[in-house]
Amino acid sequence: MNVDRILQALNKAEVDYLLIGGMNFLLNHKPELTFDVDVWVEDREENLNRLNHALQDLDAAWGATEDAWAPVPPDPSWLKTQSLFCLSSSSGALDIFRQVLGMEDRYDECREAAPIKTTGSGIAYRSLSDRHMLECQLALPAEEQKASRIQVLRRALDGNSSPS
Amino acid sequence: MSSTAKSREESKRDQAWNPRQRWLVLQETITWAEAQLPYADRRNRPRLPKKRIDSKRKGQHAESLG
Repeated sequence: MNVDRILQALNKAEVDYLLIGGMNFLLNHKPELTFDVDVWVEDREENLNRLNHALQDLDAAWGATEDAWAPVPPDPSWLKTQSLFCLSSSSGALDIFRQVLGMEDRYDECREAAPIKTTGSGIAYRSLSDRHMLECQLALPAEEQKASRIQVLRRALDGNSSPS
Repeated sequence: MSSTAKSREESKRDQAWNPRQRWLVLQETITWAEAQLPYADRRNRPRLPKKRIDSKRKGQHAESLG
């Protein structure tokens, strides 16, 4: 997977997004087995249009069913049919979230708290903050929560809040 | 959006994706993730004596503190 290439395409199309999930955790804390890039996008029409351009640039494919799997169409209206899409692309698996479980209607707040960081190769991305990553984990059903991730995030947050 | 919806979407992608391409992508992901780590924390690197690894780690930490 070329994660840099995915982030570059989103940046080039000026998509308003936050990197979330395992890849965001991997880049900010420690390696974790993850095979897709999770991106939470601002759910506004103009942004979804820009996102569709980026997805075309990445040769992304999606289908309402397996049989209907095809390159994403030029008309971005398909992006309004669901709140989550798992796509394939020439640069790897990409999950697009218009809404994140437990964080409904909180995109603007999370974006404000999200630092801009760079990958090891110097590609910029906006990273969901540790506090909000932890909230996302805790919003999941207990059996789907990742205990090790929660532990690392709690430790990182305690470290930041302790008096120096 | 529920976690079941995510599993359903992922499973659909897995079925639709060409297995050869998916495998190439997985290999590239592992390589990329490894490259994001500081040198001393990488798994597939020439082994160095522990002392030298520790000093490399300290050096990187000092650099990151600016």
